[in-house]
Amino acid sequence: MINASKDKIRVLFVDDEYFNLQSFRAAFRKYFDIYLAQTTNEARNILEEKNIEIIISDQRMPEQTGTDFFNEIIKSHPEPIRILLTGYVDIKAVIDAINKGEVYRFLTKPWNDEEVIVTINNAADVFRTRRELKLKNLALERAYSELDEFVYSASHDLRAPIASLKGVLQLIDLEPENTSNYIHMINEIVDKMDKYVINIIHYYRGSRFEKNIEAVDIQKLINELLDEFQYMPEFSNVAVEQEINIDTTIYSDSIKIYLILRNLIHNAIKYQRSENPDKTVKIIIKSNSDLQKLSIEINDNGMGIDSKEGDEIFKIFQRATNVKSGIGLGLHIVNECVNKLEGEISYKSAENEGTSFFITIPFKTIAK
Amino acid sequence: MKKAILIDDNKYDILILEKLIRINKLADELYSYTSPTMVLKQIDSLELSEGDYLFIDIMMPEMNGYELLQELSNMNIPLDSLNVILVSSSIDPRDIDKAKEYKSVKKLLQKPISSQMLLNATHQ
Repeated sequence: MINASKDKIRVLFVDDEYFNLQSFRAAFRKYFDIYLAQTTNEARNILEEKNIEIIISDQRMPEQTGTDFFNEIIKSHPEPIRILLTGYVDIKAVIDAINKGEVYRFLTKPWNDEEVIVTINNAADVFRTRRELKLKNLALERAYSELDEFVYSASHDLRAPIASLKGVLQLIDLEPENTSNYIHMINEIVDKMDKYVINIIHYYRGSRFEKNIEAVDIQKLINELLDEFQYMPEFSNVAVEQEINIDTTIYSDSIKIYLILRNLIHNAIKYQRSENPDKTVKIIIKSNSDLQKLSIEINDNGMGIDSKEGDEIFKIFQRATNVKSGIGLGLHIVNECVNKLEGEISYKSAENEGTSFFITIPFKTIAK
Repeated sequence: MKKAILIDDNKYDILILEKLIRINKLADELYSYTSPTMVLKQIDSLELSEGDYLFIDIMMPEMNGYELLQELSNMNIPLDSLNVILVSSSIDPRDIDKAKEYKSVKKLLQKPISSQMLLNATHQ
């Protein structure tokens, strides 16, 4: 999204007199993005197509007065700030309009250049502040909703292993002769809790915090990940193939790239089919220095994802399968990281055949 | 004697419940499932009779305990004559209230389940 505060302010000027329209544009085109309309119909069309921030309209027009026009568009386009241009004779109508809240300010005819510029700048301030507030509120609502989901999920995903632990401890009491077996179970359960907590930390570190641009050594990240994964029970039976072709130094957020690779490769290893003798995971990474895009493909010949899941798999705490344990944060973390890096992600999958994830991430070639 | 069917996606919880059932001699034939769809496939072959136990976990990824009950009811399994006991590690009051809406559910037990809780729920 363009940084709105750096754009020129978009002003729509409505006046039935051609000469006034041209004067207005000539006087102010240097400062603002000017759109002109000679009739209120033309004005309505422009409002539909362009993101107008300020509307300045003449009051006395043959087809419709300025105040009537404003009154009409309040429902369809409530956000642009409305300014009335008027001669002294219309003062009563204008005061009415201002009092009814339809009009922000009025400008007298003939206009004073300085006054117009100041008025438009002030009005734009109001418009842009309101717009930003609206966006921040939406982001806040989204954050609350995620927090709600997190709390509900924590109550299950953290509490469940704790309940299991207490159950096992109870069994040790009842069957002390089997203690060593139960201790093994306790280890497994605690491991699972630890992974969940680590995942949550990763999620906040990787997807919430702002970008940290540095040189990324992709091969090194892959080597570190595979080193870590060799302790996964599923790892020993899986063949991991790599095709890494990077012809330039990549500057990007290495934590986010690490999280993307880690979660996808981890899933590819974990969700294999036990009956498959040739379990394979392929890691294919290429850099395109002309387009400054990094493309990542992680593919496996494992369980696959049901096609009806679509984009739901990227939602927080979503799990597509019951067969293996998992928390449902992994793909959400991947999606958040890809979005924060302004990249794209898609996947192809067939049940019992395998899955491929495709990601492209733009990168820089110099540190900024 | 009685059969007990255990349905829970968490294998540790299944193990724990199996032990408790055996120790307290509540049933002598136990069938455990971590997948609700597998249960639906095999439920007829289990030949359940009056008073048999059905322990169902509420929170499961494939389908939750309530959805499973609905499916079983659609298959005309006589839930009212069985001892349907829901289990959950959830302490969310919404989950607890929901259990009361299902008349075939005899009790909702909160994990970790103890011998005492099990005996109280099965009136032995």
